[in-house]
Amino acid sequence: MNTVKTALLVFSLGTAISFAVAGLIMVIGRVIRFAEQRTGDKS
Amino acid sequence: MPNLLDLFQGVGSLVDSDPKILCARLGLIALGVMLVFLGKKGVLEPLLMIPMGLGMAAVNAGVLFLDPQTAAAVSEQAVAKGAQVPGTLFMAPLVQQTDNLMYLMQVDFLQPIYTFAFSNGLIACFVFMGIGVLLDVGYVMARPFESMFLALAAELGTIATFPIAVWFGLTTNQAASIAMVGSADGPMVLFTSLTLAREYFVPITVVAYLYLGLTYGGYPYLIRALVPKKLRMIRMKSAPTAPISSNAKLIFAVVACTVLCLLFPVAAPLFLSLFVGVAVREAGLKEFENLLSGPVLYGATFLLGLLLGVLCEANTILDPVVLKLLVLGILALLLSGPAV
Repeated sequence: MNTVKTALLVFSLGTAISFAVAGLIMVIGRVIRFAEQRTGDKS
Repeated sequence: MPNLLDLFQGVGSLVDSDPKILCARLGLIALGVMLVFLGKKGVLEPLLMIPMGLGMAAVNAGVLFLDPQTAAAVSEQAVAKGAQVPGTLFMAPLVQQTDNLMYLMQVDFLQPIYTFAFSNGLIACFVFMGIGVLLDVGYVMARPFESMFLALAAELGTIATFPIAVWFGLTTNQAASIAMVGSADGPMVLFTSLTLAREYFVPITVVAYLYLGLTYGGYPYLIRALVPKKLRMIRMKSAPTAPISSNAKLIFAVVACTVLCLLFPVAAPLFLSLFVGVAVREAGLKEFENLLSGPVLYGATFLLGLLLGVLCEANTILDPVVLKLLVLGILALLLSGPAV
């Protein structure tokens, strides 16, 4: 039973971390796009 | 008249071995030949299966009686005078003591590659560098949540197999290592088993690559068996994504590599290897790109296949745990595949 709990805990933690990383990727992507647009406007 | 079996020691050692080993050696030679055949036919992944199959057949055929010094180094204990110890001149994966290792590196031709590139995960890192060069991170950047959802679904087999492996009597570290087969990623299994369960990393890696090779050929049939034709006929439209510049991808590779190394230092060598490949591709370094996607990737894949084949020696494979690993490995893959 304990190992099932461990597996579920790892999966939940993995899910949380994965979606947090996905959110981070989205933010990084938007920041880069914004920076690119600004550079494009200036030139 | 000299005994002919002393002259042809491969046959001599076969005749002299106990029936269990004899059957295992003949079975593994046949399996090796079959892997080469199926690789050539394109049923299994040929890049890995052809060197692996030939290595498997050769190591189980080429068993000889070792001289006393080599026998003592391989078994890491004193050998009785006149005792005939069977072994090969390929490599000795289980040797630990430095003196024995140094001696065997001068005797076994694959020992240096095994010690300096396989058992520390360097080959896995080389494969990741090659994959990094071939990888377009544009989709992950454009659709991060969908990508993560798919990645999580692919790990369902890993999560479900872990408690089953513990129930089979493996320790938690060993269970986690074999459950990783569910992720269908060879270098990751190699790396995990090296870190968590070094004592079983040889059989776990062999089982993983054997199944991944089989998966290549078997998944179309599995999907046909599991998904009705009506659903398979649906034409999936790919939603258009905004184009992402190579500058953006390069910045992403640098930031993602640094952040992931900061969060999970234990996997830092793999992160670096993958993202250095991505960085080379996106920076437009054509010379490095050709080096990593050609000689490094294919050289590492060739040596990986050859070493995995040579690791399938009857004595190593006959460990009773291997049967459990075979069952758990296929279970992990079967649970992960349909989930994706």
